[in-house]
Amino acid sequence: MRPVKNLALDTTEMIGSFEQVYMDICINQNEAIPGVTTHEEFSEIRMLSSLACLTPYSDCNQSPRNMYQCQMGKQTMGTPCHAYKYRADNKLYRIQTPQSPMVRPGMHDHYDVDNYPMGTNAVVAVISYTAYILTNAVVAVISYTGYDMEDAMILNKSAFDRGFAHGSIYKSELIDLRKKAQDKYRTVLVFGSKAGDKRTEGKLDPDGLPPIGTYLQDGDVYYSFYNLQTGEYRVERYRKSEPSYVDHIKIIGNDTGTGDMEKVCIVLRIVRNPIVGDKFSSRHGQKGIYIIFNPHGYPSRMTIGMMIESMAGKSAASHGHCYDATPFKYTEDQPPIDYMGKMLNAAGYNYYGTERLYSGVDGRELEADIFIGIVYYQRLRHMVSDKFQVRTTGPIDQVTHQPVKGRKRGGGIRFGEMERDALISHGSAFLLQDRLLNCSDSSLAHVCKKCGSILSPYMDRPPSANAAVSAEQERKWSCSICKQTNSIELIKVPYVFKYLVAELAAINIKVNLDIQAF
Amino acid sequence: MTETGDRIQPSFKNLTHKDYGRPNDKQHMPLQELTRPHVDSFNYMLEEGLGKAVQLIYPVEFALPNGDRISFTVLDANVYKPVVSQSNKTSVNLKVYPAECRQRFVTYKGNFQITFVWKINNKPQDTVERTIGEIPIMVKSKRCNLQGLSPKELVKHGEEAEEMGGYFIVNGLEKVIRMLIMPRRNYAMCMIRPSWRSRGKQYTEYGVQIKCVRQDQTGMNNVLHYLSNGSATIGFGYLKELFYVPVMFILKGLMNVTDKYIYDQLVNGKEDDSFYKGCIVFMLRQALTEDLTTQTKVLQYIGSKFRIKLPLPEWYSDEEVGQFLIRECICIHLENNTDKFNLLIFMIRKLFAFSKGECAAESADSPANQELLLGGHLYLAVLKEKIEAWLISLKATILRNAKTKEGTYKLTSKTLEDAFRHTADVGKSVEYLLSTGNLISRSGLGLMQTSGLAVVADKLNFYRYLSHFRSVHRGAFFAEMRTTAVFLCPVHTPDGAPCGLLNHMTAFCQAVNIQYPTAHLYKLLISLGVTPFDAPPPGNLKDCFPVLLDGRHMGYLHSSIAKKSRTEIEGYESQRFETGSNNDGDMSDSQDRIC
Repeated sequence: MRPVKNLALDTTEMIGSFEQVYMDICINQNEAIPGVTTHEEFSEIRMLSSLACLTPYSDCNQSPRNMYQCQMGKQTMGTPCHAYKYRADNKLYRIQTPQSPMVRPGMHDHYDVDNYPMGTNAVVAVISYTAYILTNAVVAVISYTGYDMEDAMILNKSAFDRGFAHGSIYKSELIDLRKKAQDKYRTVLVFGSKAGDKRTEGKLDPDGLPPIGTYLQDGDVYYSFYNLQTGEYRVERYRKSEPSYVDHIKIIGNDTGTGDMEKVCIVLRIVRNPIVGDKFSSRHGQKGIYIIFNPHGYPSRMTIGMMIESMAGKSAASHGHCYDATPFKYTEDQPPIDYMGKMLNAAGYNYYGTERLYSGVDGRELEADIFIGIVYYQRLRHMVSDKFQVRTTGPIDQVTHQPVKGRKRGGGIRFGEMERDALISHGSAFLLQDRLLNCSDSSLAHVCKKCGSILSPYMDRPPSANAAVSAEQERKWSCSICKQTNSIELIKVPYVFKYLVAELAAINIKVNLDIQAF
Repeated sequence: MTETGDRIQPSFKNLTHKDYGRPNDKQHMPLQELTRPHVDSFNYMLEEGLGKAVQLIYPVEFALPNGDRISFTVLDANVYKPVVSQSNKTSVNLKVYPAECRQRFVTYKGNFQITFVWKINNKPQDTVERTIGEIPIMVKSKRCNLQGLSPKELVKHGEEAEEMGGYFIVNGLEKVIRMLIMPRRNYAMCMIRPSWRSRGKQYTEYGVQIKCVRQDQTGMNNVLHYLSNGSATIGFGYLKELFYVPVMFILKGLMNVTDKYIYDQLVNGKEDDSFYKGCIVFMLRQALTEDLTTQTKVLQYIGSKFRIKLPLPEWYSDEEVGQFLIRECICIHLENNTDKFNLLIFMIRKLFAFSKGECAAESADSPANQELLLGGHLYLAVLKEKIEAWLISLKATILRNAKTKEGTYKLTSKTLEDAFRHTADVGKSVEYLLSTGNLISRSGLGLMQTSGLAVVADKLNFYRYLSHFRSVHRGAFFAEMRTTAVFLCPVHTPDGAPCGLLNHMTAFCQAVNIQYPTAHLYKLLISLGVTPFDAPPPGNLKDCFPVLLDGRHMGYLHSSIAKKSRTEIEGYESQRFETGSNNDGDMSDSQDRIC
């Protein structure tokens, strides 16, 4: 049920979805039909969810952009809670320098979102739908070099230095020694480190745990434990590519209040300050990768709300006002742009929100006036550090000898059929061979020219133990079918091919190779 | 609910407020409102629901090898606040707080105790109180140790100052039971479902479906199918199996009336429709070919056919089995057989009118025909079923013990105590539901999905956390059309596969949690001119509207006074502001769908 205003009695009435269909409810007084309308909505935004009504000027945006904002608002790195110390979530994000938005809808105060802030006011210049984020706020939107990427932005170095969008991740790691010992009923392992042990000296406390604030890198000593039965100390190492700090450690007991130093929860803090490739977004579904923001992003996406916010933000910062960005407040006769323009004029700025800028490359004045203002920016949780994947050589699959997949295992990204087709269509045969053979499972195979089999060639038996060392090198390959040695050739094939031939042999299919030199 | 939230003028007051950042004396209400559907529904379960559910649990009855007839009747069920384990001798404070459970990766749970009486040969022996497991407790509900704490105290216990609750803690993770969209309860809906054709020979896609919901929020679907030979069968599910019975058999089993009476009830107002009259006569004759002349004979017939499928002891007569079936499977929201009879009459009339195209199909996708299944209500239904399962496991244990001792086994408080040790743990299965979101159920609980019922309330940021409590899942059933109509937000839905299926409640939308008493409305409606069934009809039914109140067919209203009555009702309606009563007695509705 939901509240509406009963016009006859001027009271609040709760209505249900069943009766609503048969009721006459107007959105505002202008739409009321005398004698027919019985109820009125309290406000236009009553149709929006608690999240959707936090989007500023959402009535000026194209509808899908508002939906994207509802999505992205939920992916923002923000302030999820205040009791970080008392939580043990797998992963908690925290933004270090959050700000309260200067332009916000009334619902922001209604829900007191100031307690859980999520973003920063950024100065944005529209250049090439590449947001130039300057200090702790200013986005310029310019089409600059023509090489600018759409949906990218540039961060001002001094903004970064002052802490723009700095954040960290808290990771809780549960270490249960009872599980490790695989003994349900007894305590076998306890945390602890031996005094004078070279491995842990100066790195771990006597309780076998790292001191608070320890900086951990891949391969560093992490914790150590003691086996009560064998008296042996074991040391575990930190095995993660990303370094972190030990934020705090919780020693966990069991239900009966006994059992000590068996289970701990180590909370690690990973620093995640913005780096090239991290994702940002305004509150209008305008996301971008931290490089540049280009004006071509506006016409197709129609996020007028963002332009209004940009002007309102600039005016808010100049006058020290807090702007009400509740949707449906402005009308066609009283456009927000006009109001903001006048406010900007009063602050000594251009009516249209544009300014003269100078090229950062050579210091010349830019010919065009650049639309520049302040927009509240959210930092999204998608960060390159979690996503980048790179491999030269690395682990391979046991059976096929091809690179494994998966970022965690140091695997590669599949170069699939479609990618192969693309290279074929470009005629880039060498690249194709490089990707699909040399960087994958290239291998050498012996093949008998006469019978065409790669399964039949075999090597001579190893020479007897007392034979000359040189005999080892003189071992010859011969074909077990043709019984001759001069028909054996060495060819380069993918390893899986050998595997395929072997598998086919298992179902009575012979593969003949026709080998010719060219 | 603060009604003016959307008219607040935002300001920078927090920048200059000298107490900003210190815990307030009271929590901020608008935030608390957001999780209210969850917390309230759980409280409803604790305070009302469990009591009602327990009363509706049918006693477990069975015979021992020595011939003793045993029965267990549950009298009461209670949930207790989370406390530390009994074997813990070191703790200073007996209470367990959520922060501890989160940090220790354990479940925040309290004892679940039932009281039941056991009888031998219908002679009450003893009342037993027994803890049958520990069940997860919703944070900030009335059984949570945080209930009623001020922000300062909350902070002291390792919580947020504005902690909203509404979730469970299972193995250290915060879990929310998703709100689901269900067909509206106790409302007969005309539907076209091509899949119904495959239900049997002569079945058509036409049907009238009603989702009956009892006082304890357990639901069951009844579908009245139209058959191409002009007859109708009623379909119902029992323990996930579907059964179809010619509706005339059920009608005759409900009331001891003559065929003429049934004929008159069905045909009144449709005397000119010879096809319809033929269909009714055909159905009545069908019953006669099985020699089902009286109510007793019908019940015996139904009982003998269904005995094998129902968990009733062998000493029940066929008639009693038939009565059990009617009570447990047909229009279960009505307790009275006369009401069930009248509702079925209404449904049959609606079905035939629908199949002839006299009224339109209703859309299951329209929010008008939907309701919300709240977390607490689902929890209650699960709990009820688990109590039943526990009693059945107790019965199985006793029978197993009796088998080893053969004829000498007697049920005493000692042997009963022995049997307790081998019964199922109720807490485990509830924890499983919350931790995986998968429902393992004997009956299926009338739900359309058995997975994804619970999700982690991921604390990525405040927005994400909030929206978990406002999200509403529509399930695969409503996949065809995606409408919203001001109760669900048109903007806030993900793109991709769940687009339009996962919605969010609008900011000011609340969930009805309590069933308001509607008994007085019955009298009111009669005073407004509705003629009840026991009075002579107000004229030919052709000129009358059927009136239904909470899925109960009350009577008829003559069209000449309908308009006047409607206006008067609206007058009363406007007086019930803020009572929040969800008036299902809908007259305006019946005007659109004359049957």
